[in-house]
Amino acid sequence: MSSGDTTLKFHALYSDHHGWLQGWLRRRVGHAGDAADLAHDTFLRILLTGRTPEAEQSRAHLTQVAKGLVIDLHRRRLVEAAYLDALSHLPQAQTPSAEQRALIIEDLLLVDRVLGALPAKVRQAFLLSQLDGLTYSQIAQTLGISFATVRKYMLRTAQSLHAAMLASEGVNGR
Amino acid sequence: MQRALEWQVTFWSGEVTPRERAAFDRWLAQDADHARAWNQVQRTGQRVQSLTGPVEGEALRAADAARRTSTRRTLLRTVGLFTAAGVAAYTARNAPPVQSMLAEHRTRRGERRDLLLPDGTRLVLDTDSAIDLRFTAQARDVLLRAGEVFIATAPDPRSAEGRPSRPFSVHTRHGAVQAIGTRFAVRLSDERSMVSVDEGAVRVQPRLASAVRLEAGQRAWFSETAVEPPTASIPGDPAWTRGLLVAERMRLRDFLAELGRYRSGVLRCDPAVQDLIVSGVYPLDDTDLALSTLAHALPVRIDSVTRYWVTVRGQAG
Repeated sequence: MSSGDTTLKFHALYSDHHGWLQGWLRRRVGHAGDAADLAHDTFLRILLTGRTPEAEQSRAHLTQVAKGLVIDLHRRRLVEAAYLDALSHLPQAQTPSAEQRALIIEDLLLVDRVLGALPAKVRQAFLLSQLDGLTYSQIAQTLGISFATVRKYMLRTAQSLHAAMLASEGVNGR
Repeated sequence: MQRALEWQVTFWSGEVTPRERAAFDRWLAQDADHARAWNQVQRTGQRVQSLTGPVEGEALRAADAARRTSTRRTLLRTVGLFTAAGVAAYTARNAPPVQSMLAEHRTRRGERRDLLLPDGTRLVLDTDSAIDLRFTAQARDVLLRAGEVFIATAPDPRSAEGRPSRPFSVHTRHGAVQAIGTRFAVRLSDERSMVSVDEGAVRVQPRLASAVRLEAGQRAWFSETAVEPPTASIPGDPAWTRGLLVAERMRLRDFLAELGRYRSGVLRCDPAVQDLIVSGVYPLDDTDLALSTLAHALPVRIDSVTRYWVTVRGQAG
């Protein structure tokens, strides 16, 4: 297929379904502005992947992409709210600047996304180790698994986090 | 790279043996590639570890708690909630919907929950309340998001292991209450928090003012900027922990405001009878029964449009 065809198909997809998708998102998220942004991002994502769906699957494909974005948005707001809330317990003098906060939120989201993709026990082992300061023996006891399994879980998380952090360095130039 | 990550995981264990340490040093010195890989792993590792302090760690924990409790449906509903409320509302400190959703333990209206914490402390959550628990190697913290909590602390099991005892504190948006071997209750309302000490003592630290010590038998309200003069507390565990509302010469309006915290819907008081005096013991687990008992004790009638819209009026009115 030539690139001209793809562009035409994309235009057709956009003009046929943009209004419908925005309405669908509006009902989902209850806010017109967010629905408009999410609809825009959905089309953008499809354009970037270069795989415009066949006409009969258009709406199914659009809603599938859009649902993922709705969940991402939810996680972002959740993490932002959780962080800002945690900050509110700090004395004002120790509050980081807006710019620092934005960077921290991006990193929190990254860790949250990595953890979300891991099985519950792997995630739990990581939180017990890094947030609660438990040793691997204590984690093994708490979760009822062997020391070797704790190590295996931690290695899996360390690999995912390392890969995600490196990838983001590429993007953000950090 | 794999080996460098394995070393990182070894160092995270909190149980590195001298032998492992020596093996690591040998590995690191062996090859310039090893040192390069280790530098890279350390760089990303530090970025991860900068997120495990009390503030960022709490955010991660809250996000994880939400993942555990929310189904897809509530997830989507929550997006609606956030977006409808708008950016201003969810960044505003302590916006209630966000607060309660992130809390690790919460109760519905009329519900009460008795918890035994990992350190043996007993914690009772009153109606419509929410807390986060944050137990770390340094401290035992309860973040009170909504409602009221009663606490009977246990000695830190870590001190039995010869490690320093971790302080136990309850935090509200107005300040912190640190327990000194004690039984106490903390209640959060919009403008201020209240602490009531039954045994031992507590140190009340408002966010922006100096700390005040309260002894057993005292209770005091505090805001971000001050602790108000203490008054006498009612001896014993709060009656609500036993499902009772004990009224001692309470104004009817105050009594109904208190009872209303334990039921869904609106409970209004006709201004004509608001200053009647109520005394007695009323059940919190059956607020309909409490209301009908009230109607026997006082010259009032209970006017319900539905169970969720109730007005207490004078008998003639």
